[in-house]
Amino acid sequence: MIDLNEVRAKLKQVYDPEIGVNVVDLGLIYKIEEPEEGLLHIEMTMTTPGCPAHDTLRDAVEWAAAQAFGVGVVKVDVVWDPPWSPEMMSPEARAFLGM
Amino acid sequence: MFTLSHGYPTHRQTWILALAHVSLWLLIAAVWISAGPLLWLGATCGAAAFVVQLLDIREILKNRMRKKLEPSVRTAVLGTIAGLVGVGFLIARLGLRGGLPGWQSVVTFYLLGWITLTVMSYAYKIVPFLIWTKRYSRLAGRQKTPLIADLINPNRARPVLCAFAAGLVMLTTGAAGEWPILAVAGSILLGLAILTFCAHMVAVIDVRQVGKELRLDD
Repeated sequence: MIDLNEVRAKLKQVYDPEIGVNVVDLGLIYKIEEPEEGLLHIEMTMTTPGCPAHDTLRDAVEWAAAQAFGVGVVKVDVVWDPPWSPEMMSPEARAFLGM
Repeated sequence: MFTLSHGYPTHRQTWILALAHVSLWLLIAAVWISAGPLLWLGATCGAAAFVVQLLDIREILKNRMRKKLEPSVRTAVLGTIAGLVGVGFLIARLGLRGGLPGWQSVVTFYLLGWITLTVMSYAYKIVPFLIWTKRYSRLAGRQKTPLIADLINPNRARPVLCAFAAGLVMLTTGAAGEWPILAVAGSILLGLAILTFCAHMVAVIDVRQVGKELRLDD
């Protein structure tokens, strides 16, 4: 059984290099689930479809999630529906960006 | 991307590209076949392209999430305004049928104000991103990596770009008015700004690391 809170904590170590906010607080992580034992499925998005850090962030999320206890395989899907919006950010991220 | 803007209309971007292309080809054709009306038409299309671009930028800035704009992004907007002013000068020169010094000033203002200022402004954003991607993207999430802003403080661009803009105005005004001292002072300021810009870019690239990376790539 994977501790999804631990996965979330690991993902908080992945930062958008341009914005300086981690992907969880930025609201880029849509779904974290364990559909079967040891398999972790993550749905995430980017702040914009043309995000130049697309591959970097996707790979970093995959690697960070794989460090959680009990994770055998990580499957990361980048989705665009629903599109990311600023309302998805945490209050801390909004405060950081001066919103 | 640099302002984290969402929800702004993008239809204007097609018009900007079309107007810029039409303007360019009309101006080239006008010079080749010495057709005055085409020159006017080309300059008008060029001015329209800049106006539409500025409207587009206004929408982007209105919908931005990052409220605090970095100096380089501000100057990129200034570069677009300089482009519009440059085309405005071109139209004015066409109307006034001015002499060579006037034309030289218009061309200098356009090339340095629009093209160079825009390239320098975006270089402060793009070069650090490329260096970050090359050096640190593989480490992201695995260990603590610097942010792009750590490679060069965005505020370091401010004095460089301000000096460049001031030097540009001094040089072109001095050249147009045939005031050599002002033109020389402007040129010196431009030169210092460009040298500092180059020093900043070299610092971001960190030549010592490039040497090691090239050796490793072999």
